[in-house]
Amino acid sequence: MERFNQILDKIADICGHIGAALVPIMVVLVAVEVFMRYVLKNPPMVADEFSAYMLVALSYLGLAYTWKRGGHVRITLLVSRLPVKLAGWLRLVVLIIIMIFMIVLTYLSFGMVVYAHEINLRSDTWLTFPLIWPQLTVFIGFLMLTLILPADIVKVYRKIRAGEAVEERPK
Amino acid sequence: MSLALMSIILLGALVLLLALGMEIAPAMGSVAAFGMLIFVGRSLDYFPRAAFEIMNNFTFTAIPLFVFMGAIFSNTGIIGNLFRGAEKIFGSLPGSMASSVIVANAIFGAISGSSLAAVATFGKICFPELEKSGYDVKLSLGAIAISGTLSVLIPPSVILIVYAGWQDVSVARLFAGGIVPGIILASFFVITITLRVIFNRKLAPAVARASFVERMKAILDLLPFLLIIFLVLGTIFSGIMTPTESAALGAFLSMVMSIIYRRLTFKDLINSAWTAVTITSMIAFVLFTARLLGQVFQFIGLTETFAGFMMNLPLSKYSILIVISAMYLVLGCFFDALSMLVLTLPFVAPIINELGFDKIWFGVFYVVLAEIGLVTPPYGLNLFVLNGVVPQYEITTIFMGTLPLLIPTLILVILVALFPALVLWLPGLIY
Repeated sequence: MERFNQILDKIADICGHIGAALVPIMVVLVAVEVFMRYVLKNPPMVADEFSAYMLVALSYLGLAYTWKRGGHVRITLLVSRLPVKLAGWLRLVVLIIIMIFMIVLTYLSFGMVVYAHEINLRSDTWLTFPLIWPQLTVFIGFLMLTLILPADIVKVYRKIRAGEAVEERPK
Repeated sequence: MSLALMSIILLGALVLLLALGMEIAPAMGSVAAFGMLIFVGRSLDYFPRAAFEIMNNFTFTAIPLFVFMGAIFSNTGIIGNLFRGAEKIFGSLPGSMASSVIVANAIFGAISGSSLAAVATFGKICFPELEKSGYDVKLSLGAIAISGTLSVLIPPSVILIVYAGWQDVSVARLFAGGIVPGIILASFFVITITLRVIFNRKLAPAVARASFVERMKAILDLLPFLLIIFLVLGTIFSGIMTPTESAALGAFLSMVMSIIYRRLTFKDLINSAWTAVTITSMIAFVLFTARLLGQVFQFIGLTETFAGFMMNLPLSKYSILIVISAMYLVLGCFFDALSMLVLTLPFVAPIINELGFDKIWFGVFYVVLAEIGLVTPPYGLNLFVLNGVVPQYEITTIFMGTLPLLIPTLILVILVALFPALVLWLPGLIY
């Protein structure tokens, strides 16, 4: 189980790294477009579309990575002041709700990708780019977040059993 | 089921999940899924398409690029030069070092869109220097915490980009709208600090005036930053580039400048890209789920009914604005600026439009109000970030230092409400 979680952690990191790699690529792509527009007077007209796809990819591929680093905003004002055990159980319930939501999203996004593949869904620009690729990153992002949640749930459960605080306590 | 009951269940569930510490994005998404299935009676097939469509947006591509640009400056520590340069230029003012934090933050605000990055970086760089020089701890911490808020007002601002995408208004005009209030606010902060030090000399040590040569050298140190700001904002306002293109230019120039200063390492580059990913992912998840929740509210008729209710109140246009402002000041104590914006906009935007307020003016007005929320407990993000940098001082100490500097922000709120031209004059001049 531990080994499986480590592998998932690694995959979540890889997804985050792919997202990070897309940032400088976006910089270069947009810079080349501007250079070709103003200097060579021959813009390729692809930066708008591709940079938006890259934004989709880095946004969703980075979901699990951001989750692992506590980057998704939450309000812990109340729970951090509750008794340790109660706060632990509440966190467990909250994580289970999130996991159910993510399972639904992952399932639906898989359907979206399958549909895009079946009808060969393409963008309505001159590129007619197959939308299955950017949509696939949405599915992978949701899937990765769904897969790393059980490990968090187990971690919280173990902390509750050990009587440890799940939430950071106010100073 | 009646609209009132549906609204109470949905809003109650949202408040409950948030109080239980659920991350804001999945909390909104879960409530939206529940509402869509139970109250609207539609399938959730649209959800993943909404996730794709909301971020498949060229306007929003500016977000990771501006975050990346700001992260390069802060991770490489180059912005320390801003502080030291400003300190020499303003050296003759009482409390000049604290005022320099404000000025340096205002300049950093023009090359970064994130107030958290500003607070973290200036906290690390400036606080030890202020402490060593004998500045009052509260004055120093207050100056760092409040000046970080300038980054959300002075363009480029991530919140303004999100607002522009959400309300379908020009990012360039919104950015232009933030400039004059941003400069006024920074000036107000400097004046407040100077007056406090004049009336209480114990707050800051006596000033050591920099020589003419030192000041000239300091101006030269600031020039590269000013040049980047001029190029990034200038190309946006002149219409030569879109905000995304200018963001890419700024990110590129930040790398070039860091290389010239011999400060850019591969690790800094990677860390800056990671920062861009984490912030963009967080924003994407919040935007996506807020859009879903907004649609559920729309389907059940809550947004329309709420707007109608507000419009039928026996209140004048400005009284309604005061009610909305008060709501934001209260919500700002609990929510971050982005979540508060996307959660409330479906309700507030129709009212603002109906009352005839300009969309650009309201975007800037909102940001000024949201700035207050960044430094007010219990959920003032800047307070938490600064507390993480200087854990030896409690959040209450930081807040007490910030409190006197909230007065100029409140004065700006009133000025912007009374004189919309402060916001709308500059957008009217650009292309």
